[in-house]
Amino acid sequence: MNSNALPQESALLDRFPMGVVVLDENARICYMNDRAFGYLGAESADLLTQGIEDIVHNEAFSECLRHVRSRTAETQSLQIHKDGRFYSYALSSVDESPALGRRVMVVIEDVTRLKTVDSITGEFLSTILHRLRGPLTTLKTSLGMLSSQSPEAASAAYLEVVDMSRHEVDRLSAFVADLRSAFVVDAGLAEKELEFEEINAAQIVKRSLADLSRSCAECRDGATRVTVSGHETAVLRGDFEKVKQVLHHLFKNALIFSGNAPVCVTIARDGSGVRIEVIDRGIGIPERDLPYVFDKFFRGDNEITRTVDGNGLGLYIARALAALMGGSLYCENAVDQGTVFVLTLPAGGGA
Amino acid sequence: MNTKVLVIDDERLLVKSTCMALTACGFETRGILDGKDAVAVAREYTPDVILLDIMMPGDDGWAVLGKLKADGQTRGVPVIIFTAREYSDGLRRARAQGAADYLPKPFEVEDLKEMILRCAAAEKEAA
Repeated sequence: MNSNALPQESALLDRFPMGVVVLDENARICYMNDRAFGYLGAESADLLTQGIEDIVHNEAFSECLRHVRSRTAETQSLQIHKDGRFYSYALSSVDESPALGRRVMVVIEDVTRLKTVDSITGEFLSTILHRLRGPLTTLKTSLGMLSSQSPEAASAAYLEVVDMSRHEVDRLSAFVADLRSAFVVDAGLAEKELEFEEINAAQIVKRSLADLSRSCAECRDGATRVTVSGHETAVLRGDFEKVKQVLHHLFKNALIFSGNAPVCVTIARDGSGVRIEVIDRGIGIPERDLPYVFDKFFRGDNEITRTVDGNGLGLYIARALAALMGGSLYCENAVDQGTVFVLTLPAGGGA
Repeated sequence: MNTKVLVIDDERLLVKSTCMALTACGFETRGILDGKDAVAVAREYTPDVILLDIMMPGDDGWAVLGKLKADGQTRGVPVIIFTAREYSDGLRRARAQGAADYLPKPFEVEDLKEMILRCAAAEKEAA
C-alpha cells in the first residue's frame, strides 16, 4: 500500500527488510509495505474494512498502541507469536507537520531464527556446564576426602585418589581443548589459523596413530591394530596440525568402537583429491543415529559410550576442519558390521 | 549399624569417589551405573537413603525416581537428587516428584553427609 503522504519514503520503505506500517493520527493505516502484508497475513482489501488492531488482533499490541497514541510513552515494543513464528513489534510516535498530524510507525521484524539460536545457545551452555561439573565433582569429593582424613587413613586412599584425579583432569583438559576447537570453528576463526602445505598422506596417518597411542589410554594398541595400505606416495594439501586433529578423532573413534577388532586405513587418489578411509568392524551406528553423528555433543547410547568418556565434539570438529581445508568427511555404516569414515582432502601439487 | 547409601550415577569415577568419601564418613555404600538396575538393587540392598543422578542415558533420574516411588518395597526409601544439570527450581521439582531433597554438583561432602543423616532420621521417625 502506498500513501501520498509518503511519496519520497515509500520507495525506500517498499524495499525495507522489515515490515513497516504507518498509522495516521486517527490510527488508520496510511501506509503498509509488502513485508508487513506478509507478516500480518493481510490483503489490500482488509485495509478498507479493518484497522491495525483488528489485523494484528492482539491485546498486548493494542495496549502498546494506546500508550504511544496517548503520549504516555514515545516508544513501545513487544513480541508476538503467530503461526509458529516470532515477531518483534516496535511502535513509535512520529511527530509530523500540522498538516499530517501525529502519526505512529510500527516496525515488524521476524525474529524466529534469533529465538531458535537463543534456545540452542542456552541448551549448549547447559550441556557444557553439565560436562564440566561431573569431573569437578569427582575431584572435589576425592581431594576433599583426603584433606579431611587423618594422615594414616589418607595415605591408604592416596594412590586411588591421585589416579582418579589425573583421569578427571585429563578428561577436563580434553573437553576444554575440544570446546576451544569448536568455538574457533563456530566463530569463523579457524580459517585464519590454517597454514597450508604439501603433506604425504601415509606419513601423516602414521604420525597421527603414533601420537594417539601415546595420548589415549584406550588407543595404546593403535600401532598394532591399525593397518595402513594404499597409495604410499599420495600427497594432500592441508594444514598439518589440523589434518592430524581430524585423523586423531577418526582413529580414536574407530579404535574405541571396534573392541579388539582390526581397523583398516586406506589411502587412494580420488580425482583431484586424496581419499582416506578409516574402516572398523565394530558395533556400527544405528540408523536412527546416523543423521546426528556429526552434531555437536551427540553421543550414541550404547555399551561403549556408557563406559568410555567422550565429549561428542570430535566428529563435529573433524567435519568442520575438513570442509575448511577444501575437503569433506562423511560416514557409511552397517550395523554390527562396522563403520567407514571417508575423509577427502585436496591433492597436493606433487600428488 | 551404619547408614546404608545406594549411589546411582552413570559416571564411574563420580560413583567411586562419592562412595569412598561416604565410607570415610562412616556410611556403608554401594554404587550402580545404570538406572535400569535401580529398583532391583534397591530391593536387594535395602538402602536407608538413595543418591540419584538425573542426566543418565536410557532411563533418566526422573524416570528412575518414578519407578522407585511406584514400587511397594522401595517407595519409602528417601531419595536425594544430585545433579550437574542446571535447574532453577530443582528443590521444588525434586520434592514434587517425591524426592526428599536436592543437591547440585559439585557439593561439599559435609553437606551431603548432613543431608543423608537428616533424610534417614526423618524416614525413621515417619516409620
